[in-house]
Amino acid sequence: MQLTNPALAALTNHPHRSRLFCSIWRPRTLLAATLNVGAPTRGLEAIPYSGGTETGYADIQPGHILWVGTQDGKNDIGRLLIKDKSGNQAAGTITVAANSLVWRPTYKITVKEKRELVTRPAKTVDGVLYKDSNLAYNGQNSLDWPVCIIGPHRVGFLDNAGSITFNFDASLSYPEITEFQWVTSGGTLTNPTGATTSLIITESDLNSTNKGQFYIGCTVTNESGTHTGYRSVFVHIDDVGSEYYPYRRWSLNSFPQANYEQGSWLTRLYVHGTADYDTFEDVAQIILWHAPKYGSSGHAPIGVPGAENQFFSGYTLRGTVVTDWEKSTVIFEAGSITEVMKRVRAMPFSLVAEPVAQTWYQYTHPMNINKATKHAVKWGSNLLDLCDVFLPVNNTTPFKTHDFQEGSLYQQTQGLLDRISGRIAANIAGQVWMQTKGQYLPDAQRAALPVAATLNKSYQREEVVLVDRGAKSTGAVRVSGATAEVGTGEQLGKIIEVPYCSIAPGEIPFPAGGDMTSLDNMIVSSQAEADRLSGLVLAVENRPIIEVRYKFAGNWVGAIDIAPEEIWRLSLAAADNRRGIQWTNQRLYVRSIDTDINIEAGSILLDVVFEPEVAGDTGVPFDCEKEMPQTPMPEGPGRGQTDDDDDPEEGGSGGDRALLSFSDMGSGMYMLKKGQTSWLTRNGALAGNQIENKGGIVDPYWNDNDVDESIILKTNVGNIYRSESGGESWSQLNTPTLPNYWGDVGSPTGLTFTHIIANPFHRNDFYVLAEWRTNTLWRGALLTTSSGGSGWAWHEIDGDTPSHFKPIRLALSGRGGKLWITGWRDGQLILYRLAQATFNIENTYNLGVCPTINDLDSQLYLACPESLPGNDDHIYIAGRMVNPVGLVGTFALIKSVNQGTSWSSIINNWKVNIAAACRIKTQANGVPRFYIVRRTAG
Amino acid sequence: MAQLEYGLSLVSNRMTFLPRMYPAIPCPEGALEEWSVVYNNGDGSTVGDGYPKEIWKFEFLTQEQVNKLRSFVGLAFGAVSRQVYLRTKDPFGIFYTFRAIMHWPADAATKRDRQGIYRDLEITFTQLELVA
Repeated sequence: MQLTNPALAALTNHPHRSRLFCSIWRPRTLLAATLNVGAPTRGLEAIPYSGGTETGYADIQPGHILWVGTQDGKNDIGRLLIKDKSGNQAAGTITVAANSLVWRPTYKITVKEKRELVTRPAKTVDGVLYKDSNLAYNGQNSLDWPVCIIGPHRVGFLDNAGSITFNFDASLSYPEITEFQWVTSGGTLTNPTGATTSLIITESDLNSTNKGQFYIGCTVTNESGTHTGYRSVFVHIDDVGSEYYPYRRWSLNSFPQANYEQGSWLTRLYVHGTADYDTFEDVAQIILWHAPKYGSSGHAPIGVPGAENQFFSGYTLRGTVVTDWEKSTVIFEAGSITEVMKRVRAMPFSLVAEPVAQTWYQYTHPMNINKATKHAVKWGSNLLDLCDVFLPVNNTTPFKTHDFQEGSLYQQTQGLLDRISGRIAANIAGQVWMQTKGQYLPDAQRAALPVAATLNKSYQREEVVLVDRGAKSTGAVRVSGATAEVGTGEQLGKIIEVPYCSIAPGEIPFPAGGDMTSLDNMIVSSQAEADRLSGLVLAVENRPIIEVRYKFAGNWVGAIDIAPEEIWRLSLAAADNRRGIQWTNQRLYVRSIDTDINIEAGSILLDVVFEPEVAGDTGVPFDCEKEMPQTPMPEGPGRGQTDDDDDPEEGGSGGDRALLSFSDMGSGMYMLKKGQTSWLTRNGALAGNQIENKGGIVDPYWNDNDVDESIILKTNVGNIYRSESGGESWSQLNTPTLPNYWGDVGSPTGLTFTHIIANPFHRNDFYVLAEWRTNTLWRGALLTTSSGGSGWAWHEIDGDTPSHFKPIRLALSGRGGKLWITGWRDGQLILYRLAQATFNIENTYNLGVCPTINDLDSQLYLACPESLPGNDDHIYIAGRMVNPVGLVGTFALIKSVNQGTSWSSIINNWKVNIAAACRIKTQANGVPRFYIVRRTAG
Repeated sequence: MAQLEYGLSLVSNRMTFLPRMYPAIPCPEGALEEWSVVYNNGDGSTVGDGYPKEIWKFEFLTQEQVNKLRSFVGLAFGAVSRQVYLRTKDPFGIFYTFRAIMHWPADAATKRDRQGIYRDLEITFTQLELVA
């Protein structure tokens, strides 16, 4: 938001003081009833009910949520999107979205006056695909559907005259809206068919039924159809004794913080008062807001129009109930709607551009990122109904096809946006932007981004910190992408892809940059755009100043946000820093915001991390079929020692191999070449004690004739290194930002890469386990590369988001294409089986109880799968396991020879703890050899 | 005379001065902090933010006086704080009326001696907003 001079004057007028409030949507119950069907079928969609109570049947609307529970008012069985209704308060039928619930006649149903984010399930009947449960394809993918934009949710106090007016503006709705129709659940609307309206609420509109909560909706129409958006309106009375005063018994367990890469605002609330399921129901809408004053003269709040008084707008994500005899609290994590998007599952589907779409899977050419994204969220969810969504309308480059992978709604849409270097991000008021990162926009579009303000010292608290990169970290960037066009000649009548590839800085990478970045499957309109993008990405990844950490003086909340992308400017005098860095109006992008809030003191302070904008030279065209060049490594002292290494075998796992490397406990890394007896130290630039001692060294089975050109990865705490010179020289690799599948608030600490394995059949594939802690919680995930460490991707392991998850070991079951991972999860040892091709979890196995992580350490519960390469069905697990996978007893080594379908024990009742992993290798005749290190008492 | 102006109320326009309560409450030693948060600005100046905070320190209160203070503002057994209006002086010695949240000291019991006399009892008021 561009800050006006009066706003900037207010923001520098101290003291800043704020009264802080919390509003929670407490939905009215519209209907409570019992199922009225004797033998309901699984997946019932038309739900007959009887014995209905409450008084809100008339207000039930499509888009409300039906709770299904074993008792009145519960939703322990399910929450379903309502699509239709018939009948009356006492009896009738509610039609819901497609589902797989096993319905029972005793179930209770409840309808709440509430809208929450859900996905719209698709269904196939007799080979015909229906979107949103029952929508047959009827030309939808040739139309440009309207999107309703009416601003954020609202909250406020009645004024002294007992009234409050909320102004709404739908004029940003798109595209080409011709009609507007406003509705509300209470109060008075002015001009209900205009692009703008005002909702006036007076004290007489507040009653025990609506609890001071209202809905406003707007239906917009264009030539393609209609769309209705709804927003919540909270109205309060500024009297602590009033029943309409905001919720009082709360405090902040973790201050609101925003992260651009995560696309959301997150916070954590203590609730000290009533926190039952009526007051804080699941996915409850929460707005944190304030009544700020800037100096003695005061000023209207500064921020998102209509939501200037808000400093958080989102939903509860999950609660942690703390109960003891003395005190009881509930801690709720709350996040923007983008966090809710991460928690709703979306079904996979594909879109292919065709001259004229005939099915849901086709899209009429030209399909672009805006249309495809709109398709995903409109037909796959109700996101557009619940908040403003600004789609990437400026990018009109056609493309041919996209596969929306199974995952969360967030992953699906982000997966598409990755193809334009875009991000989904919500602002402080819960509006969602899907746009290309500002850094990667074409120059003209970058220049057109709004400038929020130019920072000066009077805005600044304490010092400014610039994080310096030092040497370049990226040697080269390759972009491969395409656009789509109507074919000619033999391709006439078809939509064809026109590929463009580019590399920067050229085919000879920067020698100092150890990493290679590859952007594949991008949507680019021309060779010039591919060249521009490769050069820009290279410049961004090698930018000399990685980030600027800036602390704002006072309450700047609302004035600065992670979305939409906007520019802040900063000038630095060389004399003000010891590096002599001189900036004049350096353009900056907001990448994270941390707040520091003291409710009692009424103070809000902001710490912001900016990313400096950079310019880059364009890359050069590159043959799309060509392998990416590798960074040339300097000659090392060990090169030439491989002359006598004459292992004749090619890559693969059969037969004995030279042991290339292993890690001693903190003392280093060594190599023993085949046919030799002397160990060679291979620590490269690392000290021995820098090397992780938890199995972090790769023993690449695939190593072939030229040992010194094999890729070896190794880790120390928090870092991964690569050697392509037999360990003589090492370069540190860039790994992506840690994932946050759990919606954690707080910074991860103690990142450790605990285990690396290589794929013996794919030379450049490596799999790495990572663990860390956020606050007191163990976290972990799988990190993979298919480019020898040049590019990495995170994968979620613990799909059901436990409180604690700590991965332990991993293995690849040869040609079977299965990854096996053991881990400790909330008091259990768990084995996961993942498909190696997709990294999706296929099955989980319980390996026994392990009450705390201390038990894992002190009792040496070490579960270690190491498979038989080439013998693809086998999986062996060593460690002390109590009643694992259905076996009864205490076991030390178990196996499955059919990919986990059945299990048997090899060693049981072994009383001695195992102190290290088992290792299983095959002999030439296929007989497995087991190597197990154990520790005796003492 | 100004000492007489220390007062409390639950409404803004009906202040009861402490010495005129029954039993009479002695005037406290007041200390008003104008800001709750103080930090250095980027230009080298010092900035104060947040609401003012006031601490009333009573050198000597009887049990009856303590009971009166609590009951006057409606702090029932177990209650720790509530919104009140207070009249107290600013750093320049001028009395004003503020709306604030009154916090009963958590360590009050430790301030009471065997005779039931409270010594050096400190009552904190936060989020002071000037009313008049």
